Amino acid sequence: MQVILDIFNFIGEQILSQYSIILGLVALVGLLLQKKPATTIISGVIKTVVGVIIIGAGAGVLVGGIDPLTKIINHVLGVQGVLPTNEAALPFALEKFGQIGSLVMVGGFILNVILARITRYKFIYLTGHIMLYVSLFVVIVLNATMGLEGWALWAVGTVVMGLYFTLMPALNYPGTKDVTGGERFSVGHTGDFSYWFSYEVGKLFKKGARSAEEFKLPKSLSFFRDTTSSLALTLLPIFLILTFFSWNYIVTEVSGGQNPIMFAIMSSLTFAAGMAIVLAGVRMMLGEIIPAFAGISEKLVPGAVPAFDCPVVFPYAPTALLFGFISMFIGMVIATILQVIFKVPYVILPGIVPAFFAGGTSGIFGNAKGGWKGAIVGPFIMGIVMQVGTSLLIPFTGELYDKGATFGDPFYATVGLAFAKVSDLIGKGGILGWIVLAAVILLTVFVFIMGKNYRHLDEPAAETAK
Amino acid sequence: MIKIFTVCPQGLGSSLIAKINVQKALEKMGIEGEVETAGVTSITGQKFDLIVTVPEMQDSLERYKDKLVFVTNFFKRDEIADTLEKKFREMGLIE
Repeated sequence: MQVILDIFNFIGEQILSQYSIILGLVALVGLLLQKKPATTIISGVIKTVVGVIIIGAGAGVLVGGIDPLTKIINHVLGVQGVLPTNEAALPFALEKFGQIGSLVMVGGFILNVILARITRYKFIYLTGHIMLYVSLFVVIVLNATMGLEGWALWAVGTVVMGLYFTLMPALNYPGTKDVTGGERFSVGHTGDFSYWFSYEVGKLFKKGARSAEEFKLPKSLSFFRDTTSSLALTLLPIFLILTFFSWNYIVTEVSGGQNPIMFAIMSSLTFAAGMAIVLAGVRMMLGEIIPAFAGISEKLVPGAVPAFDCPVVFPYAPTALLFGFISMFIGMVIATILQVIFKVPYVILPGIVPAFFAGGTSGIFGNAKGGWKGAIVGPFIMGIVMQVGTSLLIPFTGELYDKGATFGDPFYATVGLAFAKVSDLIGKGGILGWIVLAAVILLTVFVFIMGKNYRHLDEPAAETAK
Repeated sequence: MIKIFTVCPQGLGSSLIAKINVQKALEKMGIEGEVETAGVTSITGQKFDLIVTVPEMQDSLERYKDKLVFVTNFFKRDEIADTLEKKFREMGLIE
């Protein structure tokens, strides 16, 4: 009897406490269900586990870049500087919440498949890295605000993620159809709120809108799609400006005697190196899991609308992409300067990665109805909103708040912030907490009842009927 | 055994969808191959026979131009299958 208990203990406390192994098991199940050959299964599982370990290793390198930057910002400005970049926050989030976060991602996917089967919202979320990031974000917030742990945390997190995976692509499906000329897919990415917002704002410019695609922009701007270089290049000026205000401090306290300019260059490049490592790990980790998810959902929900990562819409309006990218970045820079002037406790640095992916895609959505004006206005406003919202979000992010990096995308700063506020109110309990909880449940039920009127899925069928 | 990379900006999301579609196409044609994803940076130093990508990535991948295969979009399964079939015929891998 003791032996069996020992085995259970070993499984529970040793194997399942390693989130890399949990994700390896997810890949194993996925590969088995697809009936892949044994060699593919073995290498797939190993790659998944190794990928997770690589992400952890990236953390050490990232810190070499972020730590000096946050120290210097703190010294010069007297505020905490935070970098809104998902991949930089990921290793820290995984360290404490990797186990429950990856289980929530799997639970959320299963609920997504169930909801897609039984409700009118036939969307399946297939952007793997975003699935993991949002799951971790939700787990962190639930833990920090409501104090949930263990199975309760998993259950609540799973429900939240299932709703997120199902509803966010539904929100953007009309816009995506407009952008693509009626293709049957949606966008699944944490720029989602900003795409919807930019699309709606674009409608205001309807009359005589000239498309951004009629302009010619220098091709060299597309260089920014390479995140490793663009990150290093945007961090460097920030570092250098701060360097001239804290030369002596850097020499004595931070760089260990190294020339501050050289130190700034090396720290920026170290950060970029950390990002490259994390990205390599994420790529390896998801390379087997997402194809498995795709295969499973295709079998269980035939005719579902997949939600893909935002670059799938890039080909439809490459110039609007650059309009959106630049205007969101300008919005971010203005907001950051204002945050410094007003000395808010958490200054959010301009995030080049969200500006390119979320801002650029927002430009494409804004352009669909509002032409070049639509491609600029929505992303610009969302650039400002993102800095303000992310700054307000920091106190709710528990373990992450002092790491110098946080989740950065319009979703987190808007819907994510609202979610954090709501779960904070529920967590505080009392009558208000119960009222908020009831309101959230009613709203969710209402959204699914309204789903009966969700006509966008019927359009192709209706057209053929004509 | 043919080695194919699907390449998108970061190598995370859309290239993974392309990978699924390329794998399906290979299975259908009965060609043995390995498919992996990469971003514009991480493709450097890799060994491969073909890169499947979209036209906007052309500038960033100029140095591999003999090995590039373009599709209009990563999620278009049929187009990816057709384009690859044509390419394999050119390479003499299938009749």
